[in-house]
Amino acid sequence: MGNGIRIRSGSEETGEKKRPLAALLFLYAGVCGTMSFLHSLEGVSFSGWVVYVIAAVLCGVIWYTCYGRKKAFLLLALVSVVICQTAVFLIGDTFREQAAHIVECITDGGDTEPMSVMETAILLTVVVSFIMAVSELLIKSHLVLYLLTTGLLLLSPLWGVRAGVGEILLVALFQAAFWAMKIAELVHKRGVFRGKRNLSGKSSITTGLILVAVFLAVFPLVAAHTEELYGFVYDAEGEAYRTMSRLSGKADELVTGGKIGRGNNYRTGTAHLELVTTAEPSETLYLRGFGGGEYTGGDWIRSSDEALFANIMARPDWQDNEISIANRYYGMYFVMNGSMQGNEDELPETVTLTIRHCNGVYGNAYVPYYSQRSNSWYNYDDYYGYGSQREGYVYRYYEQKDMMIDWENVSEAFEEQRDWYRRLQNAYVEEIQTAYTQVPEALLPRLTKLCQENPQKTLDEITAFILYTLHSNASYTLTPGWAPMNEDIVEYFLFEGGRGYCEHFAVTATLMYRLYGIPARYATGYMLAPSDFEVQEDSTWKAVATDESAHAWVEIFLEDYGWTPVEVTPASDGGSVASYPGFDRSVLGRIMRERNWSMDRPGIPLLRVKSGQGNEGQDEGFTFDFEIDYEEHERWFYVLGTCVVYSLCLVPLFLDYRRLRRLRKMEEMGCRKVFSRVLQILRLAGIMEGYDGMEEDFAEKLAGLTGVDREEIAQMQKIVCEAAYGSVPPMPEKEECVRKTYLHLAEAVYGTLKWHRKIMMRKVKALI
Amino acid sequence: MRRFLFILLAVLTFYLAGVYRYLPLMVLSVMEVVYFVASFFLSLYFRKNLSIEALRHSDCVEKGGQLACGVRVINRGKLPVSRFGVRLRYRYGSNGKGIFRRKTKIIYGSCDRGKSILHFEISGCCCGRMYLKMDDLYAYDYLSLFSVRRKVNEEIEVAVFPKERGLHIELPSFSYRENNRSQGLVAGQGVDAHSEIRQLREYRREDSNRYIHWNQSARTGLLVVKEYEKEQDFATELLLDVAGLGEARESETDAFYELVSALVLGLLKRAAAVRVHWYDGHRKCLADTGVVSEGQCRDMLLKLYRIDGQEAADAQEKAELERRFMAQGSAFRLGADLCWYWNETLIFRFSKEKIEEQIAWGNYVI
Repeated sequence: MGNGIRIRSGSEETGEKKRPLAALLFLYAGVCGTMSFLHSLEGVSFSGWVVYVIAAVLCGVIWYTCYGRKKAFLLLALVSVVICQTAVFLIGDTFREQAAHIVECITDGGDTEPMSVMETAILLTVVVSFIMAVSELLIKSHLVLYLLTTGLLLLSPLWGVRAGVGEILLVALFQAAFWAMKIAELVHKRGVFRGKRNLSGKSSITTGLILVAVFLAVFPLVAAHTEELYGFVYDAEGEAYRTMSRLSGKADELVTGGKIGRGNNYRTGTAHLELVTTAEPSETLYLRGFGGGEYTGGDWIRSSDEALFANIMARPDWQDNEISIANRYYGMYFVMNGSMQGNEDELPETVTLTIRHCNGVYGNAYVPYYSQRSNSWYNYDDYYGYGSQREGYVYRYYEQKDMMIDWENVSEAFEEQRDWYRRLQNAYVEEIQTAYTQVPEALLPRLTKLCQENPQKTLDEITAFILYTLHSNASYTLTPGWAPMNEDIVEYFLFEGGRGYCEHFAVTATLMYRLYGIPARYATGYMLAPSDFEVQEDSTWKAVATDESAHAWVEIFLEDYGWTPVEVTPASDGGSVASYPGFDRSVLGRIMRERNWSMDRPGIPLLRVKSGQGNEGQDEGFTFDFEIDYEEHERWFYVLGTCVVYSLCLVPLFLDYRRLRRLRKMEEMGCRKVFSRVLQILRLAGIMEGYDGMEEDFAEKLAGLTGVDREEIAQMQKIVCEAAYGSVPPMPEKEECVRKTYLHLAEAVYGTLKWHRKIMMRKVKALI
Repeated sequence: MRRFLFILLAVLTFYLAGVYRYLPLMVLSVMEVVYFVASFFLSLYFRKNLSIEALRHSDCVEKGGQLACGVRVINRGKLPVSRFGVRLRYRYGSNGKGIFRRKTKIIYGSCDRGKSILHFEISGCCCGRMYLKMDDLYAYDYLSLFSVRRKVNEEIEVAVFPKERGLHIELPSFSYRENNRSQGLVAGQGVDAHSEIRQLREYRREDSNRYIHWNQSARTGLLVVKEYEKEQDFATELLLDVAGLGEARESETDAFYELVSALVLGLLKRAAAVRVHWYDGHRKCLADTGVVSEGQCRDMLLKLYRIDGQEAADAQEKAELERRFMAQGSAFRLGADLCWYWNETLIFRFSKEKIEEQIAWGNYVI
């Protein structure tokens, strides 16, 4: 306080430091909680009860030695280091293999083969126990471990590590209890008012109990209202996203690119496209801005037909150049459809679609299906007579229902063109069979296995199976949550999350089509329903596509149609709206009835199990494997055996060290304590039971039994009485006298004992 | 800051639990929020059940020495309190008057259920009357997220006395001087030929050279001094000018009280008694106290500690009384400015910064 006053504590620590039991409990909780995170890794297995028992024993021994027996702790640590090093030396390859497997499980998610990591788990248990004990009990620093465990809790879902509620609670108990303990100890150490030392234990136990009570109260409520709670988060995240998008201008960017979203999908409602048609659309209008060619794990590389055309051109029977092929291919089906012969009333009608980008950026065009781009940009106002320049581009297209290409129903003048088109289609089909059926199976082992185990014959059956798999195993939502960083989004969506939006359904369907050998492409752009269009005064139909109209779908190649969109995202009622020429709901229903599939039952129940663990239906939480396979754990037994041998060799040394230490301590002991050891010796030897050392005949009787001088024993009695009841402590010479008498008595008694009692007296009790 | 970080952690946990749809983490985040609220109520509970009272409300201590102050902490609740704090204020000077520096400190402790007697030690660094006040009790929850305050009003008054040491003073060889006072100036060891030599003893450092018995010293080879009988009736008068003492800083009053104590004890070695006078602003007269021992010196100091600056209002009257007192006969005078006079003659001007050395090592010849 500066000039005037100084304040300091008025009481000093006295007595031996007590061992708060709470420290042991919460240390064990921390070790178990941490090891349980390893246990919850997919592809990793070990016998939980063995590890937790080892953790319990180790924590207990460490706790016992940490308080007041630092040398014993150091010895324990040294022994542990030796044992671990020996184990590493003997079975180092196993450790390396297991460690690599654990790392692979973390980085690659659920795609790894299961493996037992028992040895590494035991080693980690030892290491974690010591680190926690040293940090909390010796150094008494909680901050580092608190940060590390917090990091473990918060970052584990990013890597797909999903520990159970029990594990989370254990780690939380460890954090809170040691936090409370640290505060109590700090106050005791630095506070001016010092209370009893064991308040650190009491306060940590109380904190733990409060936390458990809070958990019991909170858990059922949270479990019952998870969706509402998640909804809070999504609402907040959505608002933040919308605000940031508007501020940064990202909201104005048009949908393009093939990156599959790994988080939630938030819409801003910003207008992207202005569409004007000359007729009211009667079908959903798909405007494709991006076509995915190659899948690279969460992303698509834009498809490019140029290479395919180059291959076609390279064929010996083709004389056309690449550009000519491309130009004629893209409008081929539109032109063919328009070349059909028939009554005017029967001929299909084209629709003219004018597209304007609201942000004025025309880097990417959005193309309707079965269309041909107009040869020139129409001056918007000239066309409609407004008199001012505006931008935009125009397509003419046929609705799918109006596509009725009949290769034979063409005029004679068109036959040559028709033949060329037919040859082009055939050549193109051959090319896309290779180009658009590629799947990186290494990234998608479970999806590949699913398709391999469910072969389908026809395109309709394939489509039905895809729809059934998607709609029965996954549900549509714009807020499916984030996918872990270490898993492919497709695998996570279908086999774990079960929730997603159009991108997830589309990419999964695309890859499944390809796995079945059907050329398919992932497409993104905008989708507008007929109801989105409003009639204008000039009889045109206008719609504004916002980011809410952005969509993803799969397109498959159908002969006579070209690339055709297939809607695999479920409708708002959960039903399927997928259709393409030759496939509709009735076909889907028929196939599902034949195969006994139901959208209400998950496509294949085992899909939900984390692959390879072997325990079907295993939930998050503790697992205890009560069977020990000797062959599997052979190495572990070697290690254990080595440890036992080491221990047997070290135990006598440890006992001797302890004995010498106790004897050295006796030199500083008071005579009363030395006398109590005399009584211990007598009890151990079974001599003079019932005597407490103060009897009148004590000295005489003891002298008779042991052969030690009676006067010496009487003198010892007298000195001890004086020490107990006198006003002044005995002189050092008298204390020394008592010690000498003790040694004489101890040697005399020792000589009369049997071998097992001798061991007990010397090695275990360390009385001589 | 800790609260903010805790809430931030809970929010982050809640967010991650939501975006990853991770039920256990969501449970943890809600637990954190609920525990946060529970901690607040826990601190309220502790505050309600915790009380503190001083064991003794007045005490004394020597300057620089340790005084153990005991407090009784009563925890009526069912839970131990791992951390509580008491705001301790202290000030020097008379109660409620004058300008004093108020220092504060929060001292922490812990207590189990029931009653606990806890001690803390204080050491006063300045002489004077020190007031220790415990006026705020802070109760913390187990994680120290919240602290709630409660007023307590426990005061301990501590008189800090200077160390018992006297100035080395050599008084002049005056004979008994008649004056209005019954006592004359005392020559501490009787300095005229008629004074009776009580004994011869070995020379000590504080003895004056003039009392060395040279003949005996030559014979024995050791320095020997004459020790005279003290004149029992001789007392020394000391007037303390306490003007400005009520408003002075504690370092200044500390020096003054040190000097008063050293002077009185030093004079007591030469005289049978010392009568100390100072102006009492409340009674509007000169207060006086006779001191014949160290204990009475402390009593005198205790009275002096009560000076509260009232004398400043009566400067004229005070000056007149003091002038009359000095006119009555010879006396020492010590002012709050640490100037020491014999009658009107300045003996020495002490310095606040060097007062310790001047008291310990000075040898003052009147």
